[in-house]
Amino acid sequence: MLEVLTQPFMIKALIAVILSGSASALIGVYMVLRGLSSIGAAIAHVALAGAAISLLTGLDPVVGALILSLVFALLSGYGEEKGEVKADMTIGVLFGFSTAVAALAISLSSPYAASAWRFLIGDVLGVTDNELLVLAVMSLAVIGVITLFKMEFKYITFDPEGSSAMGLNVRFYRYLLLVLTAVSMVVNLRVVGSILSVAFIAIPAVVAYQFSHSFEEMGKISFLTILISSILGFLVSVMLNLPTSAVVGVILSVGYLISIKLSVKRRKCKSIIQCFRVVREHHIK
Amino acid sequence: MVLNQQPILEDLSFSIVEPSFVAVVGPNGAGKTTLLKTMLGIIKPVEGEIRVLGRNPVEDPGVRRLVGYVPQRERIDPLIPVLVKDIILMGRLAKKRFPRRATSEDLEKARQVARLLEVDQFWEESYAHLSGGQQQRVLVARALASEPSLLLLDEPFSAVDTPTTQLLVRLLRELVDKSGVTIILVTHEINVLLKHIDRLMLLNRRIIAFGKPDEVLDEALLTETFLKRVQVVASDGERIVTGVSYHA
Ligand SMILES: Nc1ncnc2c1ncn2[C@@H]1O[C@H](COP(=O)(O)OP(=O)(O)OP(=O)(O)O)[C@@H](O)[C@H]1O
Ligand SMILES: [Mg+2]
Repeated sequence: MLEVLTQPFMIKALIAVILSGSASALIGVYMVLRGLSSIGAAIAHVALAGAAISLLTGLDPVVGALILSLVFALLSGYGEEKGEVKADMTIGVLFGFSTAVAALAISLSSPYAASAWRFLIGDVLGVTDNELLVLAVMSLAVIGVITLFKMEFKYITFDPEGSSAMGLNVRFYRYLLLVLTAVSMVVNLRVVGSILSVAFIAIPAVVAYQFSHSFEEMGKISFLTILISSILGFLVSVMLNLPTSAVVGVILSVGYLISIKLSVKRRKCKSIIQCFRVVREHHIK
Repeated sequence: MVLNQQPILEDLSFSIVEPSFVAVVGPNGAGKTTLLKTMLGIIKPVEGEIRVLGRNPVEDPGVRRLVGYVPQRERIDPLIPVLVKDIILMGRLAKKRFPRRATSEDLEKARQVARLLEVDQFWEESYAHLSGGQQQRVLVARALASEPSLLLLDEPFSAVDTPTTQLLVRLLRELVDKSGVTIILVTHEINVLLKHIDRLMLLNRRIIAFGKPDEVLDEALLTETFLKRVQVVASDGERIVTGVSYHA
């Protein structure tokens, strides 16, 4: 059993999960705090539609997914900016439209239906060398840009109005976040699939939120959450021969339940250690 | 000034001598916030021209670096996890160039304004854990951290207790007198300010009156501004405005 894990394709798969998870978990911090994590989910389904259309037309699925999700990410940003449509409406329309297009494209391309299914729930063990390279470049680019502009993203999330009063180009960073979300969702498509992308973008950030007093803390805890869940989920999925994405999703959800139970926020204590002390004293009483 | 094809502010014309302490009062929806944002160049006037510190904020957004802005506190989501020190430092770092690293000078200056506003003890605390008045002081500290020449404050006294209001008023007056900062403060709460300001503006979609507080504090003008009966009562040689609802 354990020998299997040292096989090159296993190691590649694990790297792919960790890379795509890390990019989503970091993007998720900003998207969740700005109340836009469902935009991420909607964009993931647009990416699915893009990939499905590509399969039908013979285009590279990654290219198709990237183009379509970038277009829609920018459109949703435009809608948000104009303030004429609520984010929720954009999400509803994006979801409906993209899922319909994806379903159509998948059913039309019946000989390829199997490969389209892979984009729904991901197929991490089937990742080829070339694919891994592309995924790695894309996720590292996302992680790199977030690290580079972490101050700017923090400022526009906390106080967009004040940020622009201080001369920050809020509009640029808002669109940049959407572009990064689109890229990250395309990476996810191949690894965890569109359905579970939302778990990757939202849950680690929400778990981290329970324990964080700063963006830095939240980023670190979000990253750790996805790292632990990915490794654990990967091992369990290989052992039980289940889809990796689904197992990681279940582990993340369990992690969320535990995090609410232990939440620092609810007790307003300063650190996790202090919180444990509070809990213990509570039990002694 | 037109937003969504609807004029919000019309026929504005005023100038402020530096340094001075100006209060702007008017009912909800009068365009007070809009006026401040126009001065920052965030909202562009349809007609006419503004000069802020001698520069046009629309064509020359660099002037924002010289302006400190305290937004209406309600505009900020208090559940976002940020430390007080990050917020105060933001006042300096957001105006710097990429990569916005904090130098020891930045830290020192940020600490100094934190002490000035008596929020020093919350330096490492989460903003979410502070009371409304403490949060307000943090936002003022952030605006002051960059040592602005012009300070714009949007309703800094809303949901703030009297001691904090008095602390802020005293401090703002000192800034004008000692550091030569010009202050434009939007408020519903005129009474605490009356003795301390140099100019008062009554605003409701246009300037109803602008001048020394004594000249402007007229019942007819105030009633025209707030569209309801407002009285000016004299007590112990001080004048108090009554009938203005502070919260709508
Ligand atoms: N972006 C916008 N688009 C269209 N109308 C707007 C916009 N922002 C503000 N308004 C309108 O402009 C008017 C003035 O708004 P403003 O925020 O300047 O009022 P205010 O005096 O600050 O009020 P308050 O005391 O409630 O803060 C309001 O009627 C508001 O509905
Ligand atoms: Mg206002």
